[in-house]
Amino acid sequence: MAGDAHVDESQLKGLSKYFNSVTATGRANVAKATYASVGLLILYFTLKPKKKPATK
Amino acid sequence: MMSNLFSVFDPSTNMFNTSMNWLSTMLGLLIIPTMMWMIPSRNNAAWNKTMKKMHEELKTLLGTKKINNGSTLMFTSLFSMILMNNTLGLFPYIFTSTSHLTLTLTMALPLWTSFMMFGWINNTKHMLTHLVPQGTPPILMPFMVCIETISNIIRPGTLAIRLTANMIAGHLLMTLLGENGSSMAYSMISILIITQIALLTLETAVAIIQSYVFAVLSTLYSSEIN
Repeated sequence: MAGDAHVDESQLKGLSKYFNSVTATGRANVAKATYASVGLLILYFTLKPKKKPATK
Repeated sequence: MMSNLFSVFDPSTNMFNTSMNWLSTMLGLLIIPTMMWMIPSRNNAAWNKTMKKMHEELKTLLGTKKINNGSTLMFTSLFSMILMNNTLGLFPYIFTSTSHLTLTLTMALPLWTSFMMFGWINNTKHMLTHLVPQGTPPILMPFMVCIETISNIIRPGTLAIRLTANMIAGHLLMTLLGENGSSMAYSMISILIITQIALLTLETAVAIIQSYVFAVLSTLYSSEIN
């Protein structure tokens, strides 16, 4: 990516080394993490057992 | 007397019970100037100049990557076809095929699907990178991914509906004005005619602009996948 040439990757520390909006890899990782989170949420709500109404 | 306001868009050209209206889509091919002599005629020169200008505009958008070489041919052809259909539809009794979603979706959906399939299969990392604009604040990054995904998904719809809606709106306005002319007072008819002429001029401009917009947006979408 053209923008990466101006970014010093050694300045990025910790979690922002892998998830940021400046490097191509960082941006791709953010997208992957977002999709994974949304997928897990959908899976959770799909597989969650439905509450049965209490019988009197 | 029309059954409803939109019946003006219904196909009405029949030959031995077969609907011939969609043939108007190819009517533009008859108007493209052909070369009789080696030296271009005035019509030929005008058409060549238009095509060259479109080629240069789209080439700027596509960039210098080798994979995009030759792509302007497809998008310039798309521009010509939509331009012909839009402008010929402004003539009386000529069916405007681009005012129907069947045609516009037929153009937009295969284009978008092929771009997405090629992009996601061959350049997955590049496509994922594009979902987060450079310099987005960290707190906004997940929302930008969702927004960009949705904006990607609705692209074929917006491409098709933009063209259809613009064509329908113009023709509908002209029809409404034309229908009301017979019941109007004599003093108002001159105002009506001036309004109709102004509207026709506007519709001609809209027809040309919408074909340009469709071609340019398709080019932009294709340039994003590499």
